[in-house]
Amino acid sequence: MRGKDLDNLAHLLLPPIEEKLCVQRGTVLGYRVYSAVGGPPGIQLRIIDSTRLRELEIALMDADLNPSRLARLER
Amino acid sequence: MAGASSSADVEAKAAVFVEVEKLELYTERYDRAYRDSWWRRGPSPWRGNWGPRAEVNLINARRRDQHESGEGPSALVRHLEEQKLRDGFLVDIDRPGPLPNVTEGIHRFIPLPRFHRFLRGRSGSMLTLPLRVRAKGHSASWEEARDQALDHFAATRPGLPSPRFRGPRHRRAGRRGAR
Repeated sequence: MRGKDLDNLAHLLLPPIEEKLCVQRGTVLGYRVYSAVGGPPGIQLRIIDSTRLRELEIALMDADLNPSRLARLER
Repeated sequence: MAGASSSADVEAKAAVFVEVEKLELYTERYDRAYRDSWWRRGPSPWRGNWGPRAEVNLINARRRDQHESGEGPSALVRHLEEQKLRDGFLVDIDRPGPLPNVTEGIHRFIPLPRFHRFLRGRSGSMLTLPLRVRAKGHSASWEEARDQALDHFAATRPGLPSPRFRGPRHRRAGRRGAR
């Protein structure tokens, strides 16, 4: 499963998640959808705070802007 | 003024920001960020905030809720349970694509993915749905399985065994029924 299938999957999951688990529609602030290694086979759906996604963005940017010595050596 | 839009127009428009990046570049950045920062203090995507003290607060709030009437204690229990539920964090496998050789090697000796799956099940923030099969007649059955899994999750919240974990609507209905 990749590309458009993953995007379609997210769109098939978001409305029922918001309908069944959220206070109202439109309250999911963000999502990550990807095909990853590991098991068991299936769709692992996780509900986490939106701050984690923001913190991930910050960590990615920070690693780009302030690489560690090891990262600088790798480059 | 030509080109100006009213606040109503602004509200009607949606803004979508899409970043496109090669998978290899993204996974490389993700792995580098994880290696460089998982041990650092402060806010981090690699670490949760729910600790023993929060767990004790939740246990105490549940006890108070059982003995005291009113919406105050119940609201606190719901708030803490939701906090616990959403306190998931990301790890090295939470990204697309194959893992780097070093990570794979470590996982061969230490079953970290299984450990993380166990933790995610415990906090109640995870549910597993069947894979979607793209074939005629399978779409409806997949949607049915998806809805069943979400309904079950909404009703039970695995890892949060308190029967009091319900949305406000369910809770009020339950109370009325009890009276």
